[in-house]
Amino acid sequence: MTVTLPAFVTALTQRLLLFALLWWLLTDGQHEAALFGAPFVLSAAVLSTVTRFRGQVLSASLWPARPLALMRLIGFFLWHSLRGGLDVTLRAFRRPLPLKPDLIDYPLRLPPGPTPILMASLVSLMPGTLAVICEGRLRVHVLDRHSDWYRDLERLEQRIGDVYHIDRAQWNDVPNHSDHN
Amino acid sequence: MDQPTFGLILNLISTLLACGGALFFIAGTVGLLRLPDLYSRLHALTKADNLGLGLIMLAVLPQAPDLFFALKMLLLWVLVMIAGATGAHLIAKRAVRGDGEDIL
Repeated sequence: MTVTLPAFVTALTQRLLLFALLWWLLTDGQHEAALFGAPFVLSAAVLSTVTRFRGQVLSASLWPARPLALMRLIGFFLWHSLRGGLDVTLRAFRRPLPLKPDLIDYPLRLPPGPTPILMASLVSLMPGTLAVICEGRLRVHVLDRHSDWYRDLERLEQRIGDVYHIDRAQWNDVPNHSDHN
Repeated sequence: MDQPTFGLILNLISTLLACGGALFFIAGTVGLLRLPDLYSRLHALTKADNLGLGLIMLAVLPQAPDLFFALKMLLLWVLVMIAGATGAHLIAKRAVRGDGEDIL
């Protein structure tokens, strides 16, 4: 895939502005801090842009298409991360430890690109699941293989698909490694 | 409701939230020590600490002097959440590949 220079420059400028704004917010706009932060803003922006264009399928846009669906995803995520924290807290204090851990393959239906990364990041903060993307597959470590983690993952995947306007009909059909029982 | 009572209630809410946050940080550490393997420990660290930080952030919000400060608190929480999820992902990825040194 060839990357056009204007696209690269646009992406780099967006990131420079965003990271500079973040640094400015975090340091209350102090001048001394700006001097210290500048190299990090620059290197973060360059690294982020290079990663964005390196071997990625640019099918899905990075920017959410539906604000309402995004709000629903955030609500869903906040509620489940609260549940996730409570769940692991209760497990940590029990004796004996209530664990039936397992490492399973989740048949991801989202198309390649930024959405599986978002999915993996959110999955790790949901109750009892920890995600790893390995060789294009989403592998999930579950604390209790008998819990209803599979339903939660499916709902999360649907909500991410909704945010990015990804039609259920266009989803990848990869049922060949669905050993999730 | 008069001013001192309102302030007292805000302080009470902040104290309760901060105590709750501290509890989750302790739980994350207990989980790190007690849970048997790398993945389970990552579960405890990412989830409990994220919730703990969220509660402490909420505890600080009523004490915020201005909106800018409140926004900064929210931003910190989001950034730490992203960093936590990414770090956990990288550690788990190395463990899945089995190319880490002394991972357990």
